Amino acid sequence: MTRLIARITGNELLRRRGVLALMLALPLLFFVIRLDTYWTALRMLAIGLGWSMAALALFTQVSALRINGRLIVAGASVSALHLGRQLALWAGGLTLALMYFVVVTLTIAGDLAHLAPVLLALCLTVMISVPLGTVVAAAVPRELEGSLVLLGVMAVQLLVEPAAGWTRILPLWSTRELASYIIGPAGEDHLIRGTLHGIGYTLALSLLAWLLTRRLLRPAPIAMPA
Amino acid sequence: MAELSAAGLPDAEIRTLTDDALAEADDAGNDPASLFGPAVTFARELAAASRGSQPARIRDRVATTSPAESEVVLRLEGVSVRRGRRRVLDGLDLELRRGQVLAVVGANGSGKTTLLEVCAGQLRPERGTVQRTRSVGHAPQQNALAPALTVDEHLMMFGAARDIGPERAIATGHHLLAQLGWRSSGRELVGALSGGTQQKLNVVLAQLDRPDLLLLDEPYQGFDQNTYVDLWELIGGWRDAGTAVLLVTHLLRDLDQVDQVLELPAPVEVSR
Repeated sequence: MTRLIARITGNELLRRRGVLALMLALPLLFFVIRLDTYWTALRMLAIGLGWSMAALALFTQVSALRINGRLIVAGASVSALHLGRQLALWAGGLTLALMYFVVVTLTIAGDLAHLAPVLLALCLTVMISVPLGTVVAAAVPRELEGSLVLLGVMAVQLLVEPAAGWTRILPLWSTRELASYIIGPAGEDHLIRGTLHGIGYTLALSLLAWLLTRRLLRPAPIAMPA
Repeated sequence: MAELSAAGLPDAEIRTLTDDALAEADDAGNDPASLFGPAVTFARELAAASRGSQPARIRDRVATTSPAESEVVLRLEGVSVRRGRRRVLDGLDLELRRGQVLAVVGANGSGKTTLLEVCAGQLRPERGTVQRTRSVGHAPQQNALAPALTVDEHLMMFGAARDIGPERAIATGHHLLAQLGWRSSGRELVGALSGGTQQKLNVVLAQLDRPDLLLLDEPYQGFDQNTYVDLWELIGGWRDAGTAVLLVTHLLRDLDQVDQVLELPAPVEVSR
């Protein structure tokens, strides 16, 4: 069931060509408009990718709410539906991350202190953003309100100075920490802290997304007739 | 009068309602049709208003099916549901057995769709208990399909939810769709289908594995006359095969084809 849902969700996303075009364009636009300052361009690219993937996860989950409810009545497992859609979103997002890594390699690679961690930063951004959008969808299962919540999170993420201690609670702190290492001259401790933070947030948000989705979709307990 | 009678109102109440309406038109110096609009529509409004002050009740229409010893597939006891400040179901008792068809009628907002959601397990009642067979199909009224998916992708997903392989789900689905007068290639995007054709798929998805209980919320929406007849032939066949059907309807002509009618009263405002 999980594989089938992942495959069908992937097909559904590929058919939404307008959404795909916007998803491709948004991070690229963020990147291109700040290309004069490569360090900002890289951060904007990563945050733009995060915003795109979180928003896509939000819309995917909210638009699937009704049909998920029906499938659960028919006997589908909440976990299988949830995991299937997460896998499709992660697969699509990681493909995008790879594409943007190629773009970075072709444009600003010569300016960067470390190139390979760019792929790590973009992939971790995707891994975090998908469950982030799912968490918002499960907590606020309406598209407009959910989009505004995500916009707020991403705007704060973009505006704050990551050196401040409290900013570690922000989901994409790892992205900016890794960007500091990529741009240089920050040391390897930034790489390690950023990676661990990203993995931790991926796991924590994935767990939270699953719990909230279960709460949202779990059918009422019904006994068999005596 | 025939519409009021079909709605299940007692003869004495029908006479009172029609006499009052005629007297009102006479007093106003108008033809009843110009004052009240089409007779059938007005009769339905009268029937709904008349039921508004009464508790939910079940009337037996036909005694040809539903032997008392057949298996119970749905039982509601004392079920109450609030929607905001309105109590839409209040202490509802209901029992449905294999091979029975129950129509749920009532005015807008009386809780027909809410009742189906409670039976499906999508909504927890405020009070009361629900017992139900695990083998259930649910065809909701709206937004029950994914527009960017094909017909076959829907059939495969709903088949997988019921542990039916993709080939069998597609074959069964196409067969049922053909019985409703539509031969699908399976590759059509659902969002590109007409409302009536989407509704055919909606009904078929609920019936894919011949569940013991079928919950249908106004399943004929968008159907042409032939499909409407085909649907009732299918429901008759499912009933004969032992499926229990709980059907929300606004069409009084449906009531002649069901075993029982559940009339839901208008919702009641409750204090917080």
